[in-house]
Amino acid sequence: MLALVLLIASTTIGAAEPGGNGDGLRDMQCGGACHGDASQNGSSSLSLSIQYASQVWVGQPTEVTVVVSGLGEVHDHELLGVFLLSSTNANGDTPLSDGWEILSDGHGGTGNYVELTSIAGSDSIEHTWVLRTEDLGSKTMFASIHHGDSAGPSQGQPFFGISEGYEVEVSPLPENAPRLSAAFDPVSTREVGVAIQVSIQTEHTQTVNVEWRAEDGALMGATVNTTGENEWAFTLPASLKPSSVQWRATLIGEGPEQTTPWFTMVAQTAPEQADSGPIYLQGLAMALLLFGAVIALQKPQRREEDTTKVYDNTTHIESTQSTDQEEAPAPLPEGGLPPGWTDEQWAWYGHEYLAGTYGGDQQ
Amino acid sequence: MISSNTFHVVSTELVVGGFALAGLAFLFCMIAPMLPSTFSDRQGAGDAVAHTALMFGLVATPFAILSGLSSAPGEALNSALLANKMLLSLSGGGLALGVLVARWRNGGGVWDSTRTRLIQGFAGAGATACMLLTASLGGKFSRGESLLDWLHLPYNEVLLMPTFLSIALLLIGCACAAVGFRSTS
Repeated sequence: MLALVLLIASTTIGAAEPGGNGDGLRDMQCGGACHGDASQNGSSSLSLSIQYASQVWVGQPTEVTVVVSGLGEVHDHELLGVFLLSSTNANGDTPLSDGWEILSDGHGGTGNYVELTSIAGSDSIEHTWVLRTEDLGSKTMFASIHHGDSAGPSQGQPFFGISEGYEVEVSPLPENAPRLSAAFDPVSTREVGVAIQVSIQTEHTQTVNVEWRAEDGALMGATVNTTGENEWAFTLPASLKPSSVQWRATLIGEGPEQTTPWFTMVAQTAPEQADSGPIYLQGLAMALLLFGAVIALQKPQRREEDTTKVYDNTTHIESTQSTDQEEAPAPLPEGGLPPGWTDEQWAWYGHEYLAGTYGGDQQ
Repeated sequence: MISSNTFHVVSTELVVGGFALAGLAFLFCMIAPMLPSTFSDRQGAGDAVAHTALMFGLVATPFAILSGLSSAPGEALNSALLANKMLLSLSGGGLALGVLVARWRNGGGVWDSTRTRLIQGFAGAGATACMLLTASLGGKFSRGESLLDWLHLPYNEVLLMPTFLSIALLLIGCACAAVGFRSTS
């Protein structure tokens, strides 16, 4: 009972999924999967803003950056869940619902929700998505955040915050401007230790220059080769550990020069493909071994009291008792046998006679 | 239709509840002779609770395993956590079944001698520990934290034996069971 009370007292109320829920495509309240009950959320004091590229062209990838500031001032954060949304409906509010295509979430995926770890000593954090839309005109986006508080009086409490709407104008690209083809789909993941060749499909483009940077920020150039008409390729060197690199291309043609957003390429260790058969076999073996061990150790034993009862019922013991009586008759009194007694009677009842208990008489 | 995720939650709650109650009762039965007679006289009740709760949890275990496999994202056992869950739950199940069969064959006399008392008690408590550890792994897998995080257990490492060793253990287990089921000594 005391243990149960201690366990309940050590929990925090309402902070579901403190280890995060993983990046993904989620509506504003993630269907209750991030914080168990939206009504338990406190209002986050963090500031949220969205930054767009200076020009957003229809059909071309563009960067959308969410900036979270105010970290460490009120809350002690470790994990931040950041959303990029197209409305505040809490249902059907991902950018996909408003005609956007998410080409990269910056983590190797294509979701609108990412989980970020705050950096000690920094009061802000920003994260960039790469999106593309085929719709012209004005669009609005929102940034939202889920987090807890890992210290202080509100420790463990879930918090929620949402930004104001940030409007962006999607314009048509000049007719002769070099551009990425609609067929271009950036590769965002690769395995550690493997160099990768990246293909770029373009239109109205005569030359392509590519630069890339590792996590330390140093810029490097890549050699771009033509693989066909308006098709280009370059190679990113192998990564020795799980990490990410970013690359962008400058497209040169007759029209105004275009620079693509930074595309993120995440190097990750491929999960080991374990055969399930040996695991099931090992589990079965362990189960049977433990079962057999208990059965063998708890083998029913014969009980000692049962053995004693067998000997109690033998005729040998009865025979010994009667033999004792026959071999040790009572000594005769001084005057010989009592009057009327025979030798056989004395052998059987002599002791009782001497004790004065025979037939209830007193000697 | 109920989803496999929800069914897994329901079945694991039944398993954990049954095994947790059984574990407490087994511990009580083990130490009952050392307790004042007010408590030690209740050993019969503790014995009944321990084995009944264990049987209840054991019946629910296959449902929890199967629903867990179907609700796991991706292919089954694609994570070290899931592989460890499978190994632990099967081990706990084998241990629990052995305890129940031993109780059935020996009756209440399983608590009479110190030796059998300790074997029965530790085996029952061990089955509970396996199941609670399995449940803890489930929490780690789905929520990223568990009640046993303070133990810093190597959740992400699987002690996977070669196939021939698994087969050898399987045969040893069969031999042990055969010896145990032979006529009384």
